Amino acid sequence: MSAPESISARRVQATIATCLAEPDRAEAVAAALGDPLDLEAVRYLAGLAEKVRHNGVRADLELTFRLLRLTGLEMELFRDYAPGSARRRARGLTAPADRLAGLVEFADSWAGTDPDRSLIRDLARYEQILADFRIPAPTPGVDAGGELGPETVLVRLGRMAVLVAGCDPAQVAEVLRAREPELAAVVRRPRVLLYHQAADAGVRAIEVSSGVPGLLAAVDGVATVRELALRLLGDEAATGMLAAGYAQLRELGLVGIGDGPAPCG
Amino acid sequence: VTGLGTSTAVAVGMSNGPIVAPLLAAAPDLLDYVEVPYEQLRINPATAEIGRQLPTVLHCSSMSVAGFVPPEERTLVEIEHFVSVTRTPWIGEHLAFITADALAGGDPVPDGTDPAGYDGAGYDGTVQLTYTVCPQLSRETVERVGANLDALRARYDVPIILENSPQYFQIPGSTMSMPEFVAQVAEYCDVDLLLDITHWLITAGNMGLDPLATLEALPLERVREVHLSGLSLQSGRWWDDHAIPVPDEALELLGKLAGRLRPAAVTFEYNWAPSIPRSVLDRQIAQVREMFG
Repeated sequence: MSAPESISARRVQATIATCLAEPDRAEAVAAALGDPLDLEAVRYLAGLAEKVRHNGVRADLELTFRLLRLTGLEMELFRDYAPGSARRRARGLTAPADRLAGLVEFADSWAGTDPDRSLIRDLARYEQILADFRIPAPTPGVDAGGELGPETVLVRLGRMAVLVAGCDPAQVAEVLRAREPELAAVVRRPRVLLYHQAADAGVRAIEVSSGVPGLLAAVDGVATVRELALRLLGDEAATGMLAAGYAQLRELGLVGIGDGPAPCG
Repeated sequence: VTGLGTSTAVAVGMSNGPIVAPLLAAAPDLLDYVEVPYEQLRINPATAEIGRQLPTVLHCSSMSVAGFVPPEERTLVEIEHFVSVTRTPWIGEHLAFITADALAGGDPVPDGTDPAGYDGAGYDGTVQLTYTVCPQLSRETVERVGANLDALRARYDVPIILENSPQYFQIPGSTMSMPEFVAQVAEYCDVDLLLDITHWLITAGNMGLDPLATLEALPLERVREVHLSGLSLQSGRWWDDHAIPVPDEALELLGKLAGRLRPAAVTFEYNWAPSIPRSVLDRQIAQVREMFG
């Protein structure tokens, strides 16, 4: 150390603290200090503090944190998230569920097309889905039985969540649990995964075609298959085809026949 | 507190976090004490009940001992309360700041003012950080620590020991290295140290210092407590990480000092981790006991 002591320690502390607390003003206040401040390092330090604030979600995002460490992107993610997270805190979103939701939402936009970041995004969303399923909630819907036809009113059975991912998170989890994880072993292929929990059952993952989430979302316990055909396909003539599709989903235990409005005529 | 600070044996403990309660349930004799942060007690005073199972040591990040903006009086009163509740043998505090002046909006330095040495005006309230920050390493800060400690020592009937910060970047206006700074603080303030081995490795790695050579220049006889945690190299810098195992390098460094160091306590900081393999904990705790056995 040879630099003369020229800037008051108090001012340096005020500058660093202001940079940390108000990232939007960091460049201006650092420039006024008169001695170089490594702003990039300060941003990373804000990221470290942000990471520590998220200790409460580590148990839910255990694999995501493992992957972040393995890819060396942990500090980068939290550096980039720190300003947005500060705005969320200012809005009072500080409960663990809020932090989990905020981080997963940020990872979604942060991923872009980068393969490693995309893997992190998929895994974070997957672990969020599993965390949501761990919260006790009613598993709605009972299949009233009978034939599924054009005038049938459908209901969704159980709790479900959809993940559109570039990998199978369960396979990524296996890779990460190895003593020496090899990310090259991750199979990267776009897929749509439906996570489903029936009453008194565990969570299962079903790979589905891209149209299935839309079919399931349309089921509202009120509309008949014929009405859904009109709504989804704009063509009543497609009712038979749609009924066949819903019959397959019924076999999977995802939809059932409701006891809603009785068919007319 | 039986043993801690009075016994000749080196006690081995762990900072309180999610893994501690299950660990104590599974292995009640594995640890000698639990280190409890004031910041945890403030939010959840019931945390102090862990003291029914094991002695507790109070750790603190809120006194801003190297800062120019004192903490709120309420904070100091609460710490006093928890000193009494935990019957801690000392208060471990960071040699760092956590409160600071907030720079006013607009032009932070008035027109025509030389920013060098500019102080006082342009501040607008205070900033309360949630994470301690390494201060400027200078004589001015050493003297400030002395003044702060004088005021704090008058309040508490247990000693305050100071923990070296991890240094992630060059602090503007610094005139000395971290090892020189810590040594000067220890001498000027006549204060004992909490040597965080991992922080030391981080600082050495980021600032290009030799961790062992610089440690040997410290007044090691003043080290009352040691901290051990994980660290990781990311984005070109070393970072503190209490969620991953203490690396062998940290334990080896501590081992090299064992002949000259006689801390009363060695604390594993795994307080960010939802889990750490039991085999790792058993091995590392045994290693430290053997080191100072």
